[in-house]
Amino acid sequence: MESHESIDALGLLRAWPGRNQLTKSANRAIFDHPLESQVRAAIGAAHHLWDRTTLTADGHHRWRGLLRLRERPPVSLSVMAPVTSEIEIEGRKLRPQGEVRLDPKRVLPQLREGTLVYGGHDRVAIPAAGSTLVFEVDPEVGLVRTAAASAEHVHLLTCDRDLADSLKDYDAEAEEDLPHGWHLLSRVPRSHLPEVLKRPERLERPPVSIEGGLRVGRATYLVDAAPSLQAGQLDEDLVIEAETTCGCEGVNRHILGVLKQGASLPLSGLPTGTHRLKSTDGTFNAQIRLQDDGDRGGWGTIGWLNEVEHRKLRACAIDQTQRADAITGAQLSVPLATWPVLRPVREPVTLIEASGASRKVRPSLRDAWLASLDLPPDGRWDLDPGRAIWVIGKRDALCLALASPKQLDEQAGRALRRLPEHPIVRAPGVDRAKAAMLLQSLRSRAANMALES
Amino acid sequence: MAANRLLAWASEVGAGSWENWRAAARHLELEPSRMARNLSALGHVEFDWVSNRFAVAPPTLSYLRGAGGAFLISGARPNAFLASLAPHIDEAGAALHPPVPQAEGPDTLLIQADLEEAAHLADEAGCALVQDAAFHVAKRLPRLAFHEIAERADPDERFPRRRLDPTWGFQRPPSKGDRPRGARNAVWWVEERRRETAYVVDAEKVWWRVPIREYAPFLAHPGITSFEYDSVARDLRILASMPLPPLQARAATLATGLLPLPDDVFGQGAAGRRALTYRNVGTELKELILRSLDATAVSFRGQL
Repeated sequence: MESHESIDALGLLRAWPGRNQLTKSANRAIFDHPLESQVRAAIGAAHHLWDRTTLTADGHHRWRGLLRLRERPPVSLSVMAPVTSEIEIEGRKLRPQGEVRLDPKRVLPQLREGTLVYGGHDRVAIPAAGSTLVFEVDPEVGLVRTAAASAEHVHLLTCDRDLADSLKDYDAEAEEDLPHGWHLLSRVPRSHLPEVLKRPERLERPPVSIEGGLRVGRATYLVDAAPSLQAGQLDEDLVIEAETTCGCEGVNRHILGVLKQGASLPLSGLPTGTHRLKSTDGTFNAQIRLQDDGDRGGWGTIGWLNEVEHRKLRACAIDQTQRADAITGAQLSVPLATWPVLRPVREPVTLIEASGASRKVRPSLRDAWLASLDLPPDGRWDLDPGRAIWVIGKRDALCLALASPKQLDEQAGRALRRLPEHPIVRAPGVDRAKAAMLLQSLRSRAANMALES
Repeated sequence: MAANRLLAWASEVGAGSWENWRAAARHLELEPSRMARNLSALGHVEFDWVSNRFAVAPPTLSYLRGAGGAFLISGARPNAFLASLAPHIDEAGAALHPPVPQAEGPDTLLIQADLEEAAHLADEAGCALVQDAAFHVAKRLPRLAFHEIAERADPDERFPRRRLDPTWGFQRPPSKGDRPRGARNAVWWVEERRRETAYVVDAEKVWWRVPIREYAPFLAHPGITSFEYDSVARDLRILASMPLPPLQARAATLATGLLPLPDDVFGQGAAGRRALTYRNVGTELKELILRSLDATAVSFRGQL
């Protein structure tokens, strides 16, 4: 079903070959550009109020039947119509708000031949289909027949062998439920369809519109990503000129180019400032602003909260009072704990805890993923110090807390004894001189241990 | 590159509607949903799918474990961001690596700095400083359970749906024998109003709607082995047909600031199953991600 919003009825009327049936004044109105918005609104309102019936010559109603497809086995079709009285269809009653299921094996060959009409005085008509019916999802009704594809994916019922062959990757293999020679093609991308099955985009466009660009405000765009003017149906080519107001240079008028029917005119050459864009015949007039940056409002206003309901609903707006529990990007409200220790060279180290227990840690192999980024090959390596208060390397000692273990185990003693006479003492965040004194005392204890043993 | 421009634009506006996002992505000839997924995983932009809005995350400097002292810059990156950061980097004595281009996302920005340098830089540049964001995100992942992740709801029969095979995705498996044995639950994607929504039908034929649809295959097939892990190279390889849910994807991505690498082979002798490889995923991080999905991994040895 076509939604009112998606239809440019004025564009369709302008392109309608039968518009000579309209009155002279109606024909004038649909091509009157200054009146365009009023005419469009009037047609839209009339379309909205229309109950989808036409009156037959004998004064009875004739409703258009809408076909709905169930694409799962068993494949079936149903007909719906906004009827106000009961209509008999295939031996069953179609009631207001109701639908009647149809047998695809019987209905599809009939629709190929012509329009199906049900009922007596008041009737429901299902328009003829030819060899292919196009179905797409309508948000309110489900998978329903449409005149031409406008959605990204559509479902097709077809007896066109060439079409079925070219789209065989989408064949749902539902031949059992369909008449001989018919195929159900599921979720066919619109881009794969022949043009004749697609709704022409051109008709849905107003005569001139501003499209694309990186918009940062109302009619405001980033200067390096200006929009384009896009032409729809035009009676004649439009010459577009710009009145540019930027900084102290005053107003500068120049011709931007000629806009032809169906073509686009990029506005990429315009500088920072305000630009009034006009067609020389006066039928188009708009203003845009180009600037270097936006207003940058709203940073970090959405995130993940550690609550069940919000997890179901994905990320959601963060109330400032709840920020403490949120994940926003890579930002978390985690207090900074002990930082890993960065080692300058890839060699084993000995970690000594306050209890005197020690453990030896070997560097990980060079981080393979870094190599793929061409980062420095001799990068440092990090280790989690855990409860260690000293990290002893080959030539250096790192003091993490100004404390001396009560006792040293054999491994710790060996590591301390192996240090050179004047080791490098690192002491981030603590007094380096005191750390050096503590290290000296530790090394003496380690030397005594060796003598005693 | 287009993804850099998309991030710069999003950072300039700060926040906006999904319609704004889609229009901007299309202007740059990018696929809006994929960009949303990727920029969310990289910690640049957050999306609220209920109100259909996005907001850029604040700029953040995150310490990367297993990266030789590198910090990842994520979050907002407005125009001239790097130019404004450069003097602070120099002043802090840190070094900015050349930006690492990505096929489907903005460049990865890494800074080499000591911890003190990074703290100084964060202060001066107005960035948040975070310790190992990947690990901390992973620690907050919810437990995988129907009642936590899904809600009881039947799919609307009027809308088309298609079955998602845990291994082969929406493509048909070569033979039915390739389906996991004993798998009685099934995953369906229903083409609902705005987008396809995942449903799981369990062994008792009870239907569950799964708003975060990436969870659906894991809910339907608990204990499934859809991961491979190389503990030496710290590579975590996943089946492309079972992408990680957004927060798990963020945890795995923030280990490097790089999107996963596509690969054509998953599992032994099963060429053709597409895979994605996350790098620098330490054992602890891997365990947290797997546990949150009730999944298991087999070992593999990649190229080192």
